[in-house]
Amino acid sequence: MTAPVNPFEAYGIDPRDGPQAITERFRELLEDAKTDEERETLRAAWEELTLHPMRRVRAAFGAHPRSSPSPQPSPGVGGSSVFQPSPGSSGCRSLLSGLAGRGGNRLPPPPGEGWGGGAAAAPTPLRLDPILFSTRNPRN
Amino acid sequence: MAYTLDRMWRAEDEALLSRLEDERILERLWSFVHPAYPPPHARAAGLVALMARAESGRAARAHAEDGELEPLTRLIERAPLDELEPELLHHLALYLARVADATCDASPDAASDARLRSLAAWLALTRQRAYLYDLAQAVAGAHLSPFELGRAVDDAALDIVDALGRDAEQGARGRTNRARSAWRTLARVPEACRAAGLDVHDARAEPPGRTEEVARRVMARAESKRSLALESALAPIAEAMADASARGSLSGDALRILRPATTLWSWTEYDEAVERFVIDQVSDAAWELYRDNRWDDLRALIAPIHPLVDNLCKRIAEHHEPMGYLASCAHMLVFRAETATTLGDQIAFAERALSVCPSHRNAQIVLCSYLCRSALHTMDRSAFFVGDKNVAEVEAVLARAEALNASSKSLEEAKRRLVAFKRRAHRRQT
Repeated sequence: MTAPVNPFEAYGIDPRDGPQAITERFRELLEDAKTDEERETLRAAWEELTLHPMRRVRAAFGAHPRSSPSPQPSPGVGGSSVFQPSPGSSGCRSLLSGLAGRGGNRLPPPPGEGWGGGAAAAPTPLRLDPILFSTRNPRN
Repeated sequence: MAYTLDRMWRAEDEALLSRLEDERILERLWSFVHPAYPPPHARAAGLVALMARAESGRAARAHAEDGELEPLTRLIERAPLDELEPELLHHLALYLARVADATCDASPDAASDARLRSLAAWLALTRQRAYLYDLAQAVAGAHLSPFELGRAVDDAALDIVDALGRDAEQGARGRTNRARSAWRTLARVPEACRAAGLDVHDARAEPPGRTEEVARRVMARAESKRSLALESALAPIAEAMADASARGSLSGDALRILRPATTLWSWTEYDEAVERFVIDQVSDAAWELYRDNRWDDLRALIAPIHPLVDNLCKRIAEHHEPMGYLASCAHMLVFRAETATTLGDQIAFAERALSVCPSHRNAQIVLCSYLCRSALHTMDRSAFFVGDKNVAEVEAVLARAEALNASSKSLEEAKRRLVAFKRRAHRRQT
């Protein structure tokens, strides 16, 4: 199944940065491009976003805005339970499996869980991850 | 060396962690609802973050972290739009559009709900104006004038309606689920306006206010897109009918050619334009069969369109519209009367034709004829025991028949029979 692709999202550009930033970003992308086809696609996207301001605005309307996260109490100020790793936490794996990319860069799932854990298997909350929130330096 | 995290934990770390959590919730939310469709961009996690700024959203987010996604889904689907900040509306509009894309093939009605809410979110943004205007200004810089920026904002919701129109038009002929979902959403645009807080009724007022103007433009555009989609679907049928007419095979081919139109009628959820189209198109072929007394063929031709005719008659009875179709509907009911298999049905359909169009000459003539036959049957049935009640009944029927068509030959015959009938009744009494 194909889904519509928004150029601002696809190329990691904040629409509010303006044409200059768009050009900068595409320059970087063109330097990294490996094939002519890839370069041609990038050039077309760059022209689309820079040469036609009205289309740029429409594309910006079609891109999810970069939103700041919800303000939450800092772990240092808030309840100390946030820092306690859960007894059943699987440590590094729970963190990394949660952070794994959407493009297939996933770590192998724990035995018996399979890849499709998705909604059925609630991963350990990041705030309970022992690596992130260990109260002691593991080396000591 | 021991250290505690709270001494080195920075606001940036907290922000990053929150964003990662939001992204993970979004990912799980998407895989919960639409696992087979590519997920939205990670920036869509802002939806979760902004939802969590309200108390109900915070609770829903907390549930989602624990693996319970329904509260968050419910908020996304039902939270009142006028309580949401513009940036959240923006996320919501885009997220729900993607939900609609993901679901329209399997569940066009659910997709229509998502599209409707997405459109409502756009309309709410257009209504608030400032957010979209600021975004457009930041994006376009000096390249667009204030007028052009304003137009971009005003057109934001119209662009969505146009996209729905394209989907509806592209798939209407093949009656795809995507097109059905778009078609259905276009029909529900007033509902989206109301959800966005736009007054649909005031949209018809003169002169309209700015928000009413938005509602008016969006509703008008949706109507025009629906018409275009229908025209696109009906055009090949009209062409085929014209070709058949040119070939001289209209009465033979009409049934086959018009069948897709009746299917389209159901697909469009009983659109009046399809009813009018079918009645317009079937008329010539039906008359051809009628003139040739090909009753079985006529019956077969009009049988599939009975529900359409009935629906249009109902519209006329309820709203006295469309006025231009009174006679056409009455014609169809006359055809139905003429192909009915019992005299009772014939009279009932002819009466219905006259109730739709009281001055319809054909309906008057055929009903007169049926009433005369009915009177003759009554007189035949009462051959041995004729009473005043029988005579009065026949006289009343024939008086009605005479009022409809005084020059009817059937009426002359029935009247002659009535004289003899009355004589018999008189003889019996003496």
